[in-house]
Amino acid sequence: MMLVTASQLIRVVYGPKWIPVIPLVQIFALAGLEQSIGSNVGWIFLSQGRTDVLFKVGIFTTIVVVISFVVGLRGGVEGVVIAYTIATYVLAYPVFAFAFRLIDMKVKYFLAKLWSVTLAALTLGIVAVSFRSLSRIWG
Amino acid sequence: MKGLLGFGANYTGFIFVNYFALNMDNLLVGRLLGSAPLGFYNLAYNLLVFPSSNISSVVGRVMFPALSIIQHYKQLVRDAYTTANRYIAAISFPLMI
Repeated sequence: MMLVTASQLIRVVYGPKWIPVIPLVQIFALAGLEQSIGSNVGWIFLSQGRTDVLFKVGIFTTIVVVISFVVGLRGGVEGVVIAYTIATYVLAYPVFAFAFRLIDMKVKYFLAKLWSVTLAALTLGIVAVSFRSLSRIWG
Repeated sequence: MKGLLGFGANYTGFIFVNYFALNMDNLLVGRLLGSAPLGFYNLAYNLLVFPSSNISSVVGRVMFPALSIIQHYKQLVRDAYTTANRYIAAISFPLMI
């Protein structure tokens, strides 16, 4: 609900002074979506006793993330948020692949398992947006 | 013993490196863009990115020992891992959208 209701949520909870946060929240919602699942790969590296791979993956992701910050700075704070979110999605596949190889699982197989949950969340978002637009037209 | 030391050393290395990824944004935004943009950035970050990656470390306290016990039974690991992620996504995806 964060992406869809950010505009109302920030105005009501934090007040008009925080309006510049709204676009940042909306973009970060997409990063948060990936990271709620993406950061769980740590469990695999640890439980398989392969912190050596985790260390290498960590070096790789840190380099990419720091570069994204530096590039994003040109576009101000919104640029940083956009660049970080893009970096999150660019890194998702390689990080999944490195982790899942340790337990002989295909990334595609894992994503397929999440498909129904994703579809349900998308439906919720579309319904929420449609209701809001309708209430604006008729309200 | 040597195995444990290697495990610990590599994990420490990861935590150390990851610290940069987690804090460089605050340093750069605060230094180069100023404190007001840093305040906006931090509120957005703390509302979304921080909690979603924190779920991982909380559930991980259960998942790490559980997956470690069954580490050689890859099919069980795959099932447990995908199931746990489905439950988390069922909460986090609608929350984020």
